[in-house]
Amino acid sequence: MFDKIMFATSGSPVCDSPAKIAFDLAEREDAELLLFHVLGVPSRGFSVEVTDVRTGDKEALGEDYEAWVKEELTNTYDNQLKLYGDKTSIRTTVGVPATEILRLARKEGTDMIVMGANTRPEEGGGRYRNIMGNTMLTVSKRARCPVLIVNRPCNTCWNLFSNIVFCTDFTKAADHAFTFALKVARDIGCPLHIFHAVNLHSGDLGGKPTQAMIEAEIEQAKARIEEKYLSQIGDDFKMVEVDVREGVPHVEILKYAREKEGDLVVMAHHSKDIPPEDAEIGTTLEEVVLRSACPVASVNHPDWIVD
Amino acid sequence: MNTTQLARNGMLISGHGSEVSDPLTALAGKVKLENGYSLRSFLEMMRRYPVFQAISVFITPLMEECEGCPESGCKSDGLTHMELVKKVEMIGFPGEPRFNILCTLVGLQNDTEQELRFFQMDSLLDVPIKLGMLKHSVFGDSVNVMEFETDYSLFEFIEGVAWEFGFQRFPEHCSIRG
Repeated sequence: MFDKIMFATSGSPVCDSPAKIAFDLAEREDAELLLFHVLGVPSRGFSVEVTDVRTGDKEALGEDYEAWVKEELTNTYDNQLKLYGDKTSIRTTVGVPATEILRLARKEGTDMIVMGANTRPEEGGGRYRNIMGNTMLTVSKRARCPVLIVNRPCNTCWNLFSNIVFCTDFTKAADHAFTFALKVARDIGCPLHIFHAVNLHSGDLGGKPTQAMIEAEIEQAKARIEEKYLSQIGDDFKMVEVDVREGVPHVEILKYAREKEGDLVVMAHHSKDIPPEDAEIGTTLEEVVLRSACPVASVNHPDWIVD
Repeated sequence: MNTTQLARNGMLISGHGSEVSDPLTALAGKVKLENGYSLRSFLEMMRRYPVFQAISVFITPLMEECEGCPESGCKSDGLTHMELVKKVEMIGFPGEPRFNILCTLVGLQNDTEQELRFFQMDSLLDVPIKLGMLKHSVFGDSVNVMEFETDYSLFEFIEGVAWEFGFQRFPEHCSIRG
Protein backbone atom coordinates (compact mmCIF):
# COMPACT_ATOMS: atom_id res chain seq x y z
CA MET A 1 0.00 0.00 0.00
CA PHE A 2 2.86 2.39 0.76
CA ASP A 3 5.73 2.35 -1.72
CA LYS A 4 7.47 5.49 -0.62
CA ILE A 5 7.37 6.94 2.87
CA MET A 6 8.93 10.15 4.05
CA PHE A 7 10.14 10.55 7.60
CA ALA A 8 10.69 14.25 8.19
CA THR A 9 12.92 14.77 11.20
CA SER A 10 14.63 17.55 13.06
CA GLY A 11 16.99 14.97 14.52
CA SER A 12 15.93 15.90 18.05
CA PRO A 13 14.83 13.36 20.70
CA VAL A 14 11.15 14.18 20.12
CA CYS A 15 11.54 12.58 16.69
CA ASP A 16 12.60 9.23 18.18
CA SER A 17 9.04 7.95 18.40
CA PRO A 18 8.11 8.93 14.84
CA ALA A 19 11.40 7.34 13.71
CA LYS A 20 10.41 4.03 15.24
CA ILE A 21 7.05 4.10 13.50
CA ALA A 22 8.49 5.27 10.17
CA PHE A 23 11.13 2.54 10.03
CA ASP A 24 8.71 -0.15 11.20
CA LEU A 25 6.13 0.88 8.66
CA ALA A 26 8.63 1.05 5.81
CA GLU A 27 10.01 -2.36 6.72
CA ARG A 28 6.58 -3.90 6.92
CA GLU A 29 5.51 -2.43 3.62
CA ASP A 30 8.90 -3.03 2.01
CA ALA A 31 8.75 0.63 1.07
CA GLU A 32 11.44 3.11 0.17
CA LEU A 33 12.09 5.41 3.12
CA LEU A 34 13.21 8.99 2.67
CA LEU A 35 14.79 10.27 5.85
CA PHE A 36 14.56 14.00 5.34
CA HIS A 37 16.10 16.81 7.32
CA VAL A 38 16.06 20.52 6.57
CA LEU A 39 19.41 22.00 7.48
CA GLY A 40 18.18 25.47 8.24
CA VAL A 41 16.74 28.66 6.92
CA PRO A 42 19.04 30.84 4.80
CA SER A 43 19.25 34.35 6.13
CA ARG A 44 19.10 35.80 2.60
CA GLY A 45 18.47 34.49 -0.88
CA PHE A 46 22.03 33.31 -1.51
CA SER A 47 23.42 33.44 1.99
CA VAL A 48 26.30 31.21 2.99
CA GLU A 49 24.85 30.93 6.49
CA VAL A 50 21.78 29.11 7.73
CA THR A 51 19.88 29.32 10.99
CA ASP A 52 19.84 25.78 12.32
CA VAL A 53 16.20 24.74 12.79
CA ARG A 54 16.99 22.85 15.96
CA THR A 55 19.42 25.06 17.83
CA GLY A 56 18.73 28.49 16.36
CA ASP A 57 22.47 29.01 15.86
CA LYS A 58 23.96 30.45 12.69
CA GLU A 59 25.91 27.82 10.79
CA ALA A 60 28.20 28.25 7.79
CA LEU A 61 26.64 26.32 4.97
CA GLY A 62 28.86 24.10 2.93
CA GLU A 63 29.70 20.53 2.08
CA ASP A 64 31.41 20.05 5.43
CA TYR A 65 28.38 21.16 7.40
CA GLU A 66 26.03 19.04 5.30
CA ALA A 67 28.28 16.00 5.67
CA TRP A 68 28.45 16.58 9.42
CA VAL A 69 24.65 16.78 9.72
CA LYS A 70 24.22 13.60 7.67
CA GLU A 71 26.72 11.86 9.92
CA GLU A 72 24.82 13.07 12.98
CA LEU A 73 21.57 11.72 11.53
CA THR A 74 23.23 8.41 10.70
CA ASN A 75 24.46 8.15 14.28
CA THR A 76 21.05 9.13 15.69
CA TYR A 77 19.22 6.46 13.69
CA ASP A 78 22.07 3.98 13.72
CA ASN A 79 20.05 1.04 15.04
CA GLN A 80 17.25 1.48 12.54
CA LEU A 81 19.60 2.06 9.63
CA LYS A 82 21.46 -1.16 10.42
CA LEU A 83 18.21 -3.03 9.91
CA TYR A 84 16.69 -1.03 7.10
CA GLY A 85 19.50 1.06 5.66
CA ASP A 86 19.39 -0.51 2.20
CA LYS A 87 16.07 1.03 1.34
CA THR A 88 16.61 4.26 3.25
CA SER A 89 18.08 7.39 1.75
CA ILE A 90 19.09 10.37 3.85
CA ARG A 91 18.24 13.67 2.18
CA THR A 92 19.01 17.16 3.39
CA THR A 93 18.33 20.58 2.00
CA VAL A 94 18.24 24.24 2.96
CA GLY A 95 15.04 26.19 3.36
CA VAL A 96 11.87 26.60 5.39
CA PRO A 97 11.15 23.10 6.76
CA ALA A 98 7.45 22.88 5.88
CA THR A 99 7.99 24.14 2.31
CA GLU A 100 10.86 21.76 1.70
CA ILE A 101 9.02 18.77 3.15
CA LEU A 102 6.03 19.46 0.91
CA ARG A 103 8.27 20.08 -2.10
CA LEU A 104 10.11 16.78 -1.71
CA ALA A 105 6.90 14.87 -0.93
CA ARG A 106 5.32 16.13 -4.14
CA LYS A 107 8.44 15.60 -6.23
CA GLU A 108 8.94 12.05 -5.01
CA GLY A 109 5.24 11.17 -4.86
CA THR A 110 5.40 9.89 -1.31
CA ASP A 111 2.48 7.86 -0.02
CA MET A 112 2.78 9.02 3.54
CA ILE A 113 4.66 11.56 5.62
CA VAL A 114 5.59 10.58 9.16
CA MET A 115 6.36 13.39 11.60
CA GLY A 116 6.43 14.27 15.26
CA ALA A 117 3.85 16.77 16.46
CA ASN A 118 6.32 19.33 17.70
CA THR A 119 10.05 19.97 17.80
CA ARG A 120 9.89 21.24 21.34
CA PRO A 121 9.50 18.81 24.20
CA GLU A 122 8.30 21.39 26.75
CA GLU A 123 5.18 20.41 28.55
CA GLY A 124 3.75 23.92 28.51
CA GLY A 125 3.31 23.73 24.79
CA GLY A 126 0.84 20.93 25.16
CA ARG A 127 -1.09 22.60 27.91
CA TYR A 128 -1.50 25.84 26.05
CA ARG A 129 -2.56 24.47 22.72
CA ASN A 130 0.78 24.82 20.98
CA ILE A 131 1.32 21.13 20.69
CA MET A 132 1.24 21.20 16.93
CA GLY A 133 4.36 22.93 15.69
CA ASN A 134 4.13 25.33 12.77
CA THR A 135 5.85 22.85 10.47
CA MET A 136 3.38 20.13 11.32
CA LEU A 137 0.43 22.48 10.90
CA THR A 138 1.55 23.57 7.44
CA VAL A 139 2.48 20.10 6.26
CA SER A 140 -0.75 18.49 7.43
CA LYS A 141 -2.74 21.26 5.79
CA ARG A 142 -1.05 21.15 2.40
CA ALA A 143 0.26 17.59 1.96
CA ARG A 144 -1.42 15.59 -0.79
CA CYS A 145 -0.81 12.33 1.02
CA PRO A 146 -1.86 11.39 4.56
CA VAL A 147 0.32 12.65 7.39
CA LEU A 148 1.02 10.35 10.30
CA ILE A 149 1.48 12.38 13.47
CA VAL A 150 3.32 10.59 16.24
CA ASN A 151 3.31 12.31 19.58
CA ARG A 152 4.05 9.47 21.99
CA PRO A 153 6.56 6.68 22.17
CA CYS A 154 4.97 3.65 20.56
CA ASN A 155 6.62 0.26 20.60
CA THR A 156 4.28 -1.92 18.75
CA CYS A 157 1.54 -0.18 16.84
CA TRP A 158 2.58 -0.65 13.24
CA ASN A 159 3.96 -4.10 13.84
CA LEU A 160 0.86 -5.62 15.33
CA PHE A 161 -1.83 -3.93 13.29
CA SER A 162 -4.62 -5.05 15.44
CA ASN A 163 -7.14 -2.23 15.37
CA ILE A 164 -7.78 0.91 13.36
CA VAL A 165 -10.16 3.54 14.72
CA PHE A 166 -11.75 5.87 12.20
CA CYS A 167 -13.52 8.89 13.66
CA THR A 168 -16.07 10.75 11.60
CA ASP A 169 -18.10 13.91 11.79
CA PHE A 170 -19.71 13.14 8.40
CA THR A 171 -17.98 15.93 6.52
CA LYS A 172 -16.47 15.57 3.08
CA ALA A 173 -13.00 15.58 4.63
CA ALA A 174 -14.05 12.67 6.84
CA ASP A 175 -15.13 10.74 3.73
CA HIS A 176 -11.56 10.88 2.40
CA ALA A 177 -10.25 9.82 5.78
CA PHE A 178 -12.63 6.85 5.70
CA THR A 179 -11.38 5.77 2.27
CA PHE A 180 -7.85 5.83 3.66
CA ALA A 181 -8.79 3.96 6.85
CA LEU A 182 -10.61 1.27 4.88
CA LYS A 183 -7.66 0.88 2.50
CA VAL A 184 -5.26 0.40 5.38
CA ALA A 185 -7.57 -2.00 7.21
CA ARG A 186 -8.08 -4.09 4.08
CA ASP A 187 -4.39 -4.03 3.29
CA ILE A 188 -3.26 -5.25 6.66
CA GLY A 189 -6.37 -7.31 7.42
CA CYS A 190 -7.31 -5.83 10.75
CA PRO A 191 -10.60 -4.66 12.25
CA LEU A 192 -11.87 -1.19 11.41
CA HIS A 193 -13.80 0.62 14.11
CA ILE A 194 -16.02 3.40 12.81
CA PHE A 195 -16.79 5.90 15.52
CA HIS A 196 -18.82 9.06 15.90
CA ALA A 197 -19.26 11.16 19.01
CA VAL A 198 -22.41 13.24 19.37
CA ASN A 199 -21.15 16.52 20.73
CA LEU A 200 -23.23 17.44 23.76
CA HIS A 201 -21.29 20.62 24.37
CA SER A 202 -21.49 22.25 20.97
CA GLY A 203 -25.00 23.60 21.48
CA ASP A 204 -26.18 21.93 18.26
CA LEU A 205 -28.74 19.93 20.20
CA GLY A 206 -29.98 22.93 22.13
CA GLY A 207 -28.84 24.21 25.51
CA LYS A 208 -29.43 21.11 27.55
CA PRO A 209 -30.49 18.15 25.40
CA THR A 210 -32.90 15.60 26.83
CA GLN A 211 -32.11 11.89 26.86
CA ALA A 212 -34.66 11.38 24.06
CA MET A 213 -32.91 13.99 21.91
CA ILE A 214 -29.53 12.38 22.50
CA GLU A 215 -30.84 8.92 21.66
CA ALA A 216 -32.47 10.23 18.49
CA GLU A 217 -29.19 11.86 17.50
CA ILE A 218 -27.32 8.61 18.10
CA GLU A 219 -29.78 6.65 15.96
CA GLN A 220 -29.50 9.22 13.23
CA ALA A 221 -25.69 9.04 13.32
CA LYS A 222 -25.82 5.23 13.08
CA ALA A 223 -28.07 5.51 10.04
CA ARG A 224 -25.66 7.97 8.42
CA ILE A 225 -22.73 5.63 9.05
CA GLU A 226 -24.70 2.82 7.45
CA GLU A 227 -25.54 4.94 4.44
CA LYS A 228 -22.20 6.71 4.01
CA TYR A 229 -19.64 4.11 4.95
CA LEU A 230 -20.98 0.61 5.44
CA SER A 231 -22.59 0.72 2.01
CA GLN A 232 -19.10 1.17 0.49
CA ILE A 233 -17.47 -1.74 2.21
CA GLY A 234 -18.95 -4.76 0.46
CA ASP A 235 -19.15 -8.35 1.58
CA ASP A 236 -15.47 -9.17 1.28
CA PHE A 237 -14.49 -7.21 4.38
CA LYS A 238 -16.31 -8.25 7.52
CA MET A 239 -14.17 -6.80 10.27
CA VAL A 240 -16.11 -3.60 10.81
CA GLU A 241 -17.57 -2.34 14.03
CA VAL A 242 -19.70 0.78 14.45
CA ASP A 243 -20.13 2.80 17.60
CA VAL A 244 -21.76 6.13 18.38
CA ARG A 245 -21.48 7.78 21.78
CA GLU A 246 -22.32 11.11 23.29
CA GLY A 247 -20.02 13.50 25.13
CA VAL A 248 -17.03 15.68 24.38
CA PRO A 249 -15.73 14.38 21.02
CA HIS A 250 -12.01 14.23 21.76
CA VAL A 251 -12.59 12.61 25.15
CA GLU A 252 -14.93 10.01 23.66
CA ILE A 253 -12.49 9.30 20.82
CA LEU A 254 -9.63 8.78 23.26
CA LYS A 255 -11.76 6.57 25.49
CA TYR A 256 -12.94 4.55 22.52
CA ALA A 257 -9.42 4.14 21.10
CA ARG A 258 -8.20 2.97 24.49
CA GLU A 259 -11.11 0.58 24.89
CA LYS A 260 -10.59 -0.94 21.44
CA GLU A 261 -6.83 -1.04 21.89
CA GLY A 262 -6.46 1.08 18.78
CA ASP A 263 -3.11 1.11 17.00
CA LEU A 264 -3.97 3.90 14.64
CA VAL A 265 -6.54 6.67 14.79
CA VAL A 266 -7.60 8.05 11.42
CA MET A 267 -9.24 11.46 11.30
CA ALA A 268 -9.89 14.22 8.83
CA HIS A 269 -7.57 17.20 9.07
CA HIS A 270 -10.52 19.52 9.60
CA SER A 271 -14.25 19.32 9.84
CA LYS A 272 -15.60 22.33 8.02
CA ASP A 273 -16.67 21.78 4.42
CA ILE A 274 -14.24 24.24 2.90
CA PRO A 275 -11.37 23.76 0.42
CA PRO A 276 -8.49 21.86 2.02
CA GLU A 277 -6.08 24.71 1.18
CA ASP A 278 -8.07 27.08 3.41
CA ALA A 279 -8.79 24.75 6.29
CA GLU A 280 -7.03 25.08 9.61
CA ILE A 281 -6.46 21.93 11.62
CA GLY A 282 -9.52 20.85 13.59
CA THR A 283 -9.49 21.34 17.34
CA THR A 284 -10.67 17.77 17.93
CA LEU A 285 -7.78 16.38 15.90
CA GLU A 286 -5.37 18.59 17.80
CA GLU A 287 -6.70 17.43 21.17
CA VAL A 288 -6.57 13.80 20.09
CA VAL A 289 -2.98 14.14 18.82
CA LEU A 290 -1.94 15.65 22.12
CA ARG A 291 -3.19 12.73 24.17
CA SER A 292 -3.42 9.73 21.88
CA ALA A 293 -1.26 6.80 22.88
CA CYS A 294 -1.13 5.63 19.27
CA PRO A 295 -0.25 7.50 16.06
CA VAL A 296 -2.91 9.68 14.45
CA ALA A 297 -3.25 9.86 10.68
CA SER A 298 -4.47 13.21 9.42
CA VAL A 299 -6.06 13.11 5.98
CA ASN A 300 -6.71 16.33 4.14
CA HIS A 301 -6.51 16.06 0.35
CA PRO A 302 -8.34 13.34 -1.53
CA ASP A 303 -5.70 13.07 -4.31
CA TRP A 304 -3.59 10.23 -2.98
CA ILE A 305 -6.61 8.43 -1.52
CA VAL A 306 -8.49 8.43 -4.81
CA ASP A 307 -5.42 7.25 -6.74
CA MET B 1 -6.36 33.84 52.45
CA ASN B 2 -8.59 31.10 53.85
CA THR B 3 -7.01 27.70 53.78
CA THR B 4 -9.07 24.61 53.07
CA GLN B 5 -7.78 21.26 54.19
CA LEU B 6 -8.39 18.38 51.81
CA ALA B 7 -9.08 15.36 53.97
CA ARG B 8 -8.19 11.81 53.06
CA ASN B 9 -11.87 10.89 52.93
CA GLY B 10 -12.47 13.54 50.26
CA MET B 11 -14.05 16.08 52.57
CA LEU B 12 -13.21 19.80 52.38
CA ILE B 13 -12.47 21.13 55.86
CA SER B 14 -12.61 24.86 56.49
CA GLY B 15 -10.26 26.80 58.77
CA HIS B 16 -12.83 26.37 61.58
CA GLY B 17 -12.58 22.62 61.40
CA SER B 18 -16.01 22.01 59.88
CA GLU B 19 -16.95 20.81 56.42
CA VAL B 20 -17.11 23.57 53.80
CA SER B 21 -20.79 24.21 53.12
CA ASP B 22 -20.51 25.49 49.56
CA PRO B 23 -17.60 23.77 47.76
CA LEU B 24 -17.41 26.36 44.98
CA THR B 25 -16.46 29.06 47.46
CA ALA B 26 -13.29 27.12 48.27
CA LEU B 27 -12.03 26.97 44.69
CA ALA B 28 -10.01 30.18 44.77
CA GLY B 29 -8.67 29.67 48.28
CA LYS B 30 -5.43 27.92 49.07
CA VAL B 31 -5.30 24.29 50.06
CA LYS B 32 -3.30 22.02 52.31
CA LEU B 33 -3.42 18.26 52.17
CA GLU B 34 -4.01 15.93 55.08
CA ASN B 35 -1.16 13.50 55.63
CA GLY B 36 -1.65 10.45 53.45
CA TYR B 37 -3.83 12.28 50.93
CA SER B 38 -3.84 10.25 47.72
CA LEU B 39 -5.46 10.01 44.33
CA ARG B 40 -8.16 7.90 45.97
CA SER B 41 -8.91 10.87 48.23
CA PHE B 42 -9.12 13.07 45.15
CA LEU B 43 -11.68 10.74 43.59
CA GLU B 44 -13.63 10.67 46.85
CA MET B 45 -13.69 14.46 46.74
CA MET B 46 -15.09 14.33 43.19
CA ARG B 47 -17.83 11.97 44.31
CA ARG B 48 -18.67 14.03 47.37
CA TYR B 49 -18.75 17.31 45.42
CA PRO B 50 -19.88 16.35 41.88
CA VAL B 51 -19.92 20.01 40.86
CA PHE B 52 -16.11 19.80 40.65
CA GLN B 53 -16.33 17.21 37.89
CA ALA B 54 -17.17 19.96 35.43
CA ILE B 55 -13.77 21.60 35.96
CA SER B 56 -12.11 19.17 33.58
CA VAL B 57 -13.53 16.84 30.95
CA PHE B 58 -10.99 14.25 32.06
CA ILE B 59 -12.33 13.76 35.58
CA THR B 60 -15.27 11.54 34.63
CA PRO B 61 -13.17 9.17 32.45
CA LEU B 62 -10.61 9.02 35.27
CA MET B 63 -13.31 8.04 37.77
CA GLU B 64 -14.63 5.40 35.38
CA GLU B 65 -11.14 4.02 34.85
CA CYS B 66 -10.54 3.72 38.59
CA GLU B 67 -13.80 1.92 39.30
CA GLY B 68 -12.22 -1.46 38.55
CA CYS B 69 -9.23 -0.94 40.86
CA PRO B 70 -8.82 -2.74 44.19
CA GLU B 71 -10.12 -0.89 47.27
CA SER B 72 -6.72 -0.66 48.90
CA GLY B 73 -3.05 -1.36 48.36
CA CYS B 74 -2.78 0.43 45.03
CA LYS B 75 0.85 1.41 45.37
CA SER B 76 4.06 0.80 43.50
CA ASP B 77 7.63 0.20 44.61
CA GLY B 78 8.66 2.64 41.92
CA LEU B 79 7.00 5.64 43.57
CA THR B 80 7.32 7.07 47.05
CA HIS B 81 4.90 9.92 46.38
CA MET B 82 3.45 12.24 43.79
CA GLU B 83 3.95 15.96 43.92
CA LEU B 84 1.97 18.81 42.47
CA VAL B 85 4.36 21.42 41.12
CA LYS B 86 3.70 24.83 39.69
CA LYS B 87 5.87 25.44 36.65
CA VAL B 88 6.75 28.79 35.23
CA GLU B 89 8.36 28.43 31.83
CA MET B 90 9.89 31.05 29.62
CA ILE B 91 10.04 29.77 26.07
CA GLY B 92 11.90 31.39 23.20
CA PHE B 93 13.28 30.13 19.94
CA PRO B 94 11.76 28.98 17.67
CA GLY B 95 8.74 31.25 17.66
CA GLU B 96 7.67 34.20 19.71
CA PRO B 97 8.80 34.48 23.34
CA ARG B 98 6.17 33.06 25.63
CA PHE B 99 5.56 32.72 29.34
CA ASN B 100 3.60 29.71 30.61
CA ILE B 101 2.36 29.05 34.13
CA LEU B 102 0.90 25.63 34.80
CA CYS B 103 0.37 23.05 37.50
CA THR B 104 1.30 19.47 36.93
CA LEU B 105 1.57 16.30 38.95
CA VAL B 106 4.89 14.46 38.89
CA GLY B 107 5.83 11.07 40.25
CA LEU B 108 8.83 10.76 42.56
CA GLN B 109 10.88 7.99 44.03
CA ASN B 110 12.50 9.88 46.86
CA ASP B 111 14.10 12.74 44.88
CA THR B 112 14.14 11.12 41.48
CA GLU B 113 11.39 12.08 39.07
CA GLN B 114 9.48 9.20 37.53
CA GLU B 115 7.20 9.44 34.53
CA LEU B 116 3.65 8.78 35.69
CA ARG B 117 2.63 7.69 32.22
CA PHE B 118 4.34 4.33 32.80
CA PHE B 119 2.20 3.48 35.85
CA GLN B 120 -1.29 2.02 35.73
CA MET B 121 -4.05 3.28 38.03
CA ASP B 122 -3.94 0.22 40.26
CA SER B 123 -0.41 1.21 41.25
CA LEU B 124 -1.17 4.89 41.79
CA LEU B 125 -4.41 5.26 43.73
CA ASP B 126 -2.91 4.97 47.22
CA VAL B 127 0.40 6.73 46.56
CA PRO B 128 0.54 9.87 48.76
CA ILE B 129 0.25 13.26 47.07
CA LYS B 130 2.16 16.31 48.32
CA LEU B 131 2.24 19.95 47.33
CA GLY B 132 5.62 20.89 45.88
CA MET B 133 7.60 24.02 45.06
CA LEU B 134 7.22 26.42 42.18
CA LYS B 135 9.81 25.66 39.51
CA HIS B 136 10.98 28.38 37.18
CA SER B 137 12.82 27.39 34.01
CA VAL B 138 14.09 29.76 31.36
CA PHE B 139 14.32 28.84 27.68
CA GLY B 140 14.18 25.13 28.31
CA ASP B 141 17.19 25.18 30.67
CA SER B 142 16.47 22.12 32.77
CA VAL B 143 19.74 22.33 34.73
CA ASN B 144 19.35 25.71 36.40
CA VAL B 145 15.73 25.49 37.46
CA MET B 146 14.93 27.93 40.26
CA GLU B 147 12.63 26.76 43.04
CA PHE B 148 10.36 28.87 45.25
CA GLU B 149 7.86 28.28 48.04
CA THR B 150 4.32 28.77 46.79
CA ASP B 151 0.63 28.18 47.52
CA TYR B 152 -1.90 26.26 45.46
CA SER B 153 -5.55 27.08 45.06
CA LEU B 154 -8.12 24.30 45.04
CA PHE B 155 -8.83 25.02 41.38
CA GLU B 156 -5.14 24.64 40.48
CA PHE B 157 -4.99 21.41 42.43
CA ILE B 158 -8.01 19.86 40.73
CA GLU B 159 -7.06 21.05 37.26
CA GLY B 160 -3.42 19.97 37.62
CA VAL B 161 -4.28 16.46 38.79
CA ALA B 162 -7.02 16.04 36.17
CA TRP B 163 -4.73 17.16 33.35
CA GLU B 164 -2.04 14.70 34.30
CA PHE B 165 -4.51 11.84 34.24
CA GLY B 166 -6.25 13.01 31.07
CA PHE B 167 -5.11 10.19 28.81
CA GLN B 168 -1.45 11.01 29.38
CA ARG B 169 -0.53 7.51 30.45
CA PHE B 170 0.23 4.51 28.30
CA PRO B 171 -2.76 2.19 28.07
CA GLU B 172 -2.42 -1.16 29.78
CA HIS B 173 -2.43 -3.08 26.52
CA CYS B 174 0.55 -1.02 25.28
CA SER B 175 2.62 -1.79 28.35
CA ILE B 176 1.85 -5.48 28.03
CA ARG B 177 2.78 -5.58 24.38
CA GLY B 178 5.78 -3.28 24.77
